[in-house]
Amino acid sequence: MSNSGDHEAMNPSDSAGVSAASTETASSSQAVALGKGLDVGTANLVAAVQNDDGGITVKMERNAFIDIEHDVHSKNLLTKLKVPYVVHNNTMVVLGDESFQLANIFNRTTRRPMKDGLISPSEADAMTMVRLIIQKVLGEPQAPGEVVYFSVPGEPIDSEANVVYHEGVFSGLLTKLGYEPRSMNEAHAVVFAELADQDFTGIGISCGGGMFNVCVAFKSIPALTFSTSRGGDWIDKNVSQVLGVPVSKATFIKEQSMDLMNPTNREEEAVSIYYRNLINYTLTNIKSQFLGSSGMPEFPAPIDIVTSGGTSSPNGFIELFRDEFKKLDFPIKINEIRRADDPLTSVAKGCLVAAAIAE
Amino acid sequence: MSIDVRRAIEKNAYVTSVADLEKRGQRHVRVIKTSTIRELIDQAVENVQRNADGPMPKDEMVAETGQEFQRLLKEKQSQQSALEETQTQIAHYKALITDLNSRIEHQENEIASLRAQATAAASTPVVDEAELASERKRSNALEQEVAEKTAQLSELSAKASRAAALESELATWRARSEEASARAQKLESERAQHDAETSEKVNRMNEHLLRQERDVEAAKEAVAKADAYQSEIAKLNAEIRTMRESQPATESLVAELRQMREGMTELQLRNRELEMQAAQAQSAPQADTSRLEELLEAKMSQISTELSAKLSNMRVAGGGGGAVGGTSPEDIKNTIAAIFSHDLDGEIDSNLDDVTVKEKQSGGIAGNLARLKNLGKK
Ligand SMILES: Nc1ncnc2c1ncn2[C@@H]1O[C@H](COP(=O)(O)OP(=O)(O)OP(=O)(O)O)[C@@H](O)[C@H]1O
Ligand SMILES: [Mg+2]
Repeated sequence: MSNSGDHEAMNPSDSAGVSAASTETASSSQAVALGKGLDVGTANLVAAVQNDDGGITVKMERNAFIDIEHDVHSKNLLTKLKVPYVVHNNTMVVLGDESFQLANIFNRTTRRPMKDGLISPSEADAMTMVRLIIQKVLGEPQAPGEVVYFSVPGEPIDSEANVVYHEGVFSGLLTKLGYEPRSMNEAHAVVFAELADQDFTGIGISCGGGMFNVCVAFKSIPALTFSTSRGGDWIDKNVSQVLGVPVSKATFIKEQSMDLMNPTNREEEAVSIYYRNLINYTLTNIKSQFLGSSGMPEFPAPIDIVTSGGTSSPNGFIELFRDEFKKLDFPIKINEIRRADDPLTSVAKGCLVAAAIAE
Repeated sequence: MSIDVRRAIEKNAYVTSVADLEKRGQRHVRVIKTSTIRELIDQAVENVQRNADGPMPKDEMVAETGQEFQRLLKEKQSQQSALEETQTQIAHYKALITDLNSRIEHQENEIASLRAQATAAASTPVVDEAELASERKRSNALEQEVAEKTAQLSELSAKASRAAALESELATWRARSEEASARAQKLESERAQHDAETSEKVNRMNEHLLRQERDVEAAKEAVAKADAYQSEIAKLNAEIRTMRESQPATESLVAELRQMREGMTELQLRNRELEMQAAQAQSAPQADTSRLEELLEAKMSQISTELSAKLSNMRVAGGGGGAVGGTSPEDIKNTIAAIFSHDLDGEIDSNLDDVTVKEKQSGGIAGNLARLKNLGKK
């Protein structure tokens, strides 16, 4: 894991310095605000762009697909139903959200090009599908060489996975699509999106499907970033094992509107238990990483912890988090623990902020 | 056989005085005539004989006759005393009648005298003023007393009705309190049930946790195994390295390869330079550039053929190639090429252009940008 955390391209003070002038000229001469944000996630691919109304537009799609037999009937049906498909190597591949529904119908599992936050070299083939989904959510560049910031995980502290390859492939892919890609730590993006009122000082946590990403930032500069290879998928896998149900069923139970603090049956109890375990695991890791790294900033005042990501969405998540937090003798003084308003789009939004500054 | 009863009695009786009897506490003495005794004895003998089945021994006869005599005597005596009682009552009533008669007579006399007095009073009325005044005073006092008593009475009755109201209120409260305590009891039992459920929940959670701990143990084991594999891999890698070192041919090939790559880069650079020159000097003769390009292309294809041949030779010779684990920059390039290789096949057959993805609008980022710029200035 790295203390400085990020890669040169995303040093926010650099970006800020370059951007001020160019953004102004852009806004005075043309309507479109350049720069895009892309959250490359194990579960979801999310793109954010500024729109004409002064807001942002976010497009998202599941990072998954399934192949089915290629025949004229299926093709006609999928076309009629507007289910996204592509014919590849003479098989039909259904992309995104709909692949989950089909998987349930055919009692199969979807293929997921990424695992634990990263693409693996053995899934190079599946990357064609990722490319198509990215093209769909991100669209064409608004101008040649438009800057896109895409999220990458921090170094995992509990696995040997290789972030460099992952980053390289997405960088190459986005270049091919006509963008100027820059990578940004996923949790750092959360800081950019959610901690503006605190002058980008605090702890951003992205609770994703494949990992939890953590960034401790001081005035927008990351002081500590890392990731753990446990996220929503880890909960699903364990719940599935402990209850003896398929993983997809476990995901379903988890994503129902249940309250983690008040499980009402055996299934929900299992989800709640693993959630507690996962949160404890994360907090314990933050604590030990914080204690184990030199050069941590002295925070003049208590800081906020803000969580985002799909795994932080259920009811009771923040209460559970606060509960577990209380049990630890945390080395940093914390003011407030809260959740991003829209947990699923936070990372893309943070990437967009970085891109807009750079443009 | 006949008995002279009188003589027998006289012979057997003793004489005592009334005073003597009185001294012994006997005020009344029963009197029975000898003729009656005689009758009684006869009767007794006859009764015994009638009841006997046949001739009787003398002793038995005497005993039974004696008993029968006693019974008959008692009967006779009770008849006698009943008679005496009746006679006493008759005498008593007679005395009463006499007394009543004399009283009636006395009353009649009284009435007569009162009548006489009344007649006299009617003719001469007398009013005693003093007596009247005192009577009035007494009556007033009595009236006052009555009034006081009435007041007291009404006060008492008011108290009584208030007491009744209180009583009924008390009853309501008692009922409510009973209801409340019933409810409390119910809640208590519900709580007990809830407690039981909670402890069951806790037990189940503990079970889960135990299972989880076991999972963790298993994972640790797996990690240990992985470590073993890792060291195995390291060993193999070391072996490969020594093998490679013992093959100087490989090294020279690699050197050659590097040279070729450098050569290619150089050529590419020159190519770009030439392109730029060509762009700048738009009027430059077309033929020169194209000939140069031809040359360049020929050279490049030659190099790349050689390169790939040598590379495949190296792979066959067990050289391993550039990237351990397949994550080198080369591999990244290959992956990208693979991702886009399908474009070469022509149009991708898909409906992606016709479908829309999930989309939502959300608040802008102007605030974030302003803050960030502010920080940058500082
Ligand atoms: N309502 C919900 N309740 C619980 N979990 C949810 C809910 N919605 C989504 N999730 C979970 O959130 C996870 C996906 O979140 P997210 O999109 O933030 O992850 P990601 O960015 O794709 O993954 P990563 O950052 O780990 O690569 C999945 O595990 C999904 O099951
Ligand atoms: Mg994520």
